[in-house]
Amino acid sequence: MRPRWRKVFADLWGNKTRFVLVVLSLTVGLFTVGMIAAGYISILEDMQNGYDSINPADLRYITDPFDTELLERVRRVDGVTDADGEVRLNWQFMDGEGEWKNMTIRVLPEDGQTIDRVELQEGAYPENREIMLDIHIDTQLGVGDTVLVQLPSGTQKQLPITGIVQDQTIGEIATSYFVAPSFGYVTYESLPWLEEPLSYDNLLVTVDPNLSADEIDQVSQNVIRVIEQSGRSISSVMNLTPTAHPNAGYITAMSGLLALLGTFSVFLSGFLVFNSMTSLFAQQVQFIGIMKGIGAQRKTIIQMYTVFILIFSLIAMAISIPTAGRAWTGLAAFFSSRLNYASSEFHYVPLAVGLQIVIGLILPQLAGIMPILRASKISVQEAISQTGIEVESTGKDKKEKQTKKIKGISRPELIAIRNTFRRKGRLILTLITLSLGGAMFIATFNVRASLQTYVDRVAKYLLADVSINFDRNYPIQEIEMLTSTFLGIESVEPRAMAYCQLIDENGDAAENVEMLGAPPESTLIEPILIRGRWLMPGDEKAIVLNEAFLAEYPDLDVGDTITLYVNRREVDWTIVGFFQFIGNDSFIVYVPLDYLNAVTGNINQASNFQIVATPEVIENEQVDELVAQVDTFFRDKGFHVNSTTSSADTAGNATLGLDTLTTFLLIMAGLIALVGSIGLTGTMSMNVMERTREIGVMRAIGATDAQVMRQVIIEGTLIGLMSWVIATIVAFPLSYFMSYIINVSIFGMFGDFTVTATGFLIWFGIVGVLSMIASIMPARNAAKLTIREVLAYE
Amino acid sequence: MTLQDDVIQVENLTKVYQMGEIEVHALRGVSFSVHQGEVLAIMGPSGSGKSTLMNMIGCLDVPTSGNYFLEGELVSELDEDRLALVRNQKIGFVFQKFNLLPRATALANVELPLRYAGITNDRSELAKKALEAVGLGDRLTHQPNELSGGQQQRVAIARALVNNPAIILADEPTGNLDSTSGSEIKKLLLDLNHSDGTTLVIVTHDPEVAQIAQRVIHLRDGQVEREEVLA
Repeated sequence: MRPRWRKVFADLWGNKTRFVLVVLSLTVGLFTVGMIAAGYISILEDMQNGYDSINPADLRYITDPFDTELLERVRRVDGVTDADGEVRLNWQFMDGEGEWKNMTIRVLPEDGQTIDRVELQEGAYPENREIMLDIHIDTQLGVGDTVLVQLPSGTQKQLPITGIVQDQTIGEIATSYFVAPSFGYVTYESLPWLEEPLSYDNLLVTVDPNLSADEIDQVSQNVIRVIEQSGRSISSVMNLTPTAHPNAGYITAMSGLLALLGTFSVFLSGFLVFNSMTSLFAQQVQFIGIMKGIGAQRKTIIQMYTVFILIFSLIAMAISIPTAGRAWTGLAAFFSSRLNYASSEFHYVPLAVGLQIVIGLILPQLAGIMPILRASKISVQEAISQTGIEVESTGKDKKEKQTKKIKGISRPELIAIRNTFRRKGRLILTLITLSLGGAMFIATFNVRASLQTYVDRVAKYLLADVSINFDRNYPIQEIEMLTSTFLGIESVEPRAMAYCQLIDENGDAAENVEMLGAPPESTLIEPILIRGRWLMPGDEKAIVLNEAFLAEYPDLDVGDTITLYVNRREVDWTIVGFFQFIGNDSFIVYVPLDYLNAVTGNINQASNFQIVATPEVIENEQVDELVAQVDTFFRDKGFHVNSTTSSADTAGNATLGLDTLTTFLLIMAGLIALVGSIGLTGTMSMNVMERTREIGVMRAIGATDAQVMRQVIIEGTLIGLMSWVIATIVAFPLSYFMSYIINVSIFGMFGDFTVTATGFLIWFGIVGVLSMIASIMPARNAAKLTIREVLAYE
Repeated sequence: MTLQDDVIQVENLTKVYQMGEIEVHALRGVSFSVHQGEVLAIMGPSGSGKSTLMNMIGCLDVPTSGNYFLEGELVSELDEDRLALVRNQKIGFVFQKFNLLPRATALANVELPLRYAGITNDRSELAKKALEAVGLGDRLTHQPNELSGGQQQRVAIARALVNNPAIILADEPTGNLDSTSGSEIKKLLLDLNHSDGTTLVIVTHDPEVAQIAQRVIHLRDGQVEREEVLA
């Protein structure tokens, strides 16, 4: 090996701390970029590919019972590529801990699933009188066990579990994935044994993927005509195109954030590398002088240090490329299980690897080019005369003059403060890295608070403590009478729901609308009114519309009349107000319960009741017990109960999805904070390394190890605190931006921006500890060297 | 001469450095003493062990074997914190390259040993007096880069003096100075010795500097080659 290359390797290995720091900085930077890039590229792709593979329905119709004959007729409709029948039942099952829980049963089509397929994860498909369970079911039951189910009639049946499946359609209709009950799957032939007729009530349709939205609407109208011609009525039409996974909003939010983080991480790793390289070359100046002194040409020196940097790059890439992809696969497995999508197995994402290679090769060279050129230009005399104690330029620094004025700060602390500002370029880069990590961390909590505000807003429409759903209508008076004697129930309020269509000026069905009937005098709804008023006693054809109508039909106003197709007839309604719901694009209206019942022919009847618990039940936290008692009470009396839930559970489940996002954000913020703290450790190590001789002098004149360490730690903590101040300022716009991306992705619009002190306070603690930890290692190194060694340090 | 009359007493001091697989014997059983108020020069060619000896006397490094008494205290066996206290209160260092803290004023540099000694009252006053004693009463707020080499070495001497140490240990104190400044520093050190009876140990290879000493110890190959009494 030529002497100059031997020198390159000797330099690399000569200062192990510096070697490790530079490699670590580069590796962490490249790892972050690689992981985020792999995530960004694969997350949307995985979800869409996985969802496409189950052949999701484009249109869903809930109709009167039908059989395969109707399916055949629908399949012949122009533009329809396939049609399947499905039955959805609501049961209860006993979980592994002996508690009754709600379960939605999907009955698999007679001739096998072609649309909205479930994917077997374990075991086998069920035969007659057997069941499969969804993989996310919260129970200890598994393949080979038997599950006890309770039918709406109260009959109990034992079903052997044959398999576990992943059902990506959960949350596709009605409720969100996170508030959905557990899912089970039985065969069509089991229906009679399960006290159900041999027929379907859900029609699933896929259409030609090349059709436009208008053409799909036309196909849908044709399908409706076929169903109606068969003498069946339709209670709901759902146009699900473009067919996106029910949790796609979360993934879109995550990918948006990944793009943001990716940009950050490129900058951050750039800063880390730049810091490391400039410090590295500051220490190489004297060697360069010596090499030039013995005849080395500028070209040789540049070539040598280019290889020097290349070795750092190659080592960092060798570590970061395989680990980044795997780290993302691990994270994706976590998120896919929480968000119910199929993540792909580990594979290298070419673009992510390419990005890592390009950044890994170019960035360090770019960071090193200036110091290399500067060092290679320096005169021999200048290079070899540099000493360990930095030669200051004449003229006092403004900040030094300012710090001199600070009263009550002792001399060593003052020196620590001045040291902090000594390498301003390095300080700025370190501050940027740490502050961005901090701002991300703080913003995570603010985003969570903003999302929670939204959930709280929804809760204003669900103020009851318990909600009970029957699978048919029951007389309101009967339910009220039964509950009036029920211990723990303060009051009960009926609700009705109907699916209808908004009729446009041409007389065509323009939108599917969810119609909710509530007593106008209800105290269990605290509406957020945008315009007009809420329902009032005495109202008949009054209707309150949600914000989706305003977005789609901005000309609509209070006093206007709209026509809705309800229960096979067109009914005119007078708009009395607009309310703010959760901001999604579903069309939701509230109408007076009695009038809706009159229209649907269910006078004085309802299938849903909202129950308010007595103050004692609330105070003693016995709502869950009340839920169980109410459920048993009605089942025992022969009522067909679909589900009984507490509002707290519903709200808790609703926040699960948000928690997944928050976890994701925290992991990312943690990663950025890690990059920041490595940056700070690097900066502190370099600061200490450059002041080795100075520290030796301090110790020679009597400073103890503890005093030296204290000074270094003060310096690190000061940088940490400064970064906290900057992070708190940056956190505001960043929180707003992130809240905006996430809210729009999940809810379709941006509501209130909420700021919470939690993130600011936690980050204050973390950055304080991080700064201290980042300073302790260099401080210990500084204290460990013998004074003889440090005074000899050049 | 008794042990109590000697400020420094070294007995059979050895120092072995491990350089890879090779053992370098920098000191091979050095013994001598320094009396109160004496000016001693340690001379020798490069590699003779004079820097190693200075590190031992200055408590900057620990010997491999042998005893070192400073004002009767066996310092060769003290722990790091006790050694820091000894360096702070009993030894004043003057280095060839001055080694002042670059971002601190002359006054701040001189004050620092007082701070490490835990002195809370009159620190500025004491530091100011030390700087006046070396003729820099009008340069209190100057930073090192605003002072000449000679002035910087004066600040270093003031810093060495400020805690009234038992000895001042000067390592090539004129090595980085021109002849005029070098002469001024030599004179200053002698004046301090005459006026306050400060004990001086000067490590040098310059015979002219050694001329100010009363006694010279010549080192060669890690051993005392000979002692020379000059006055």
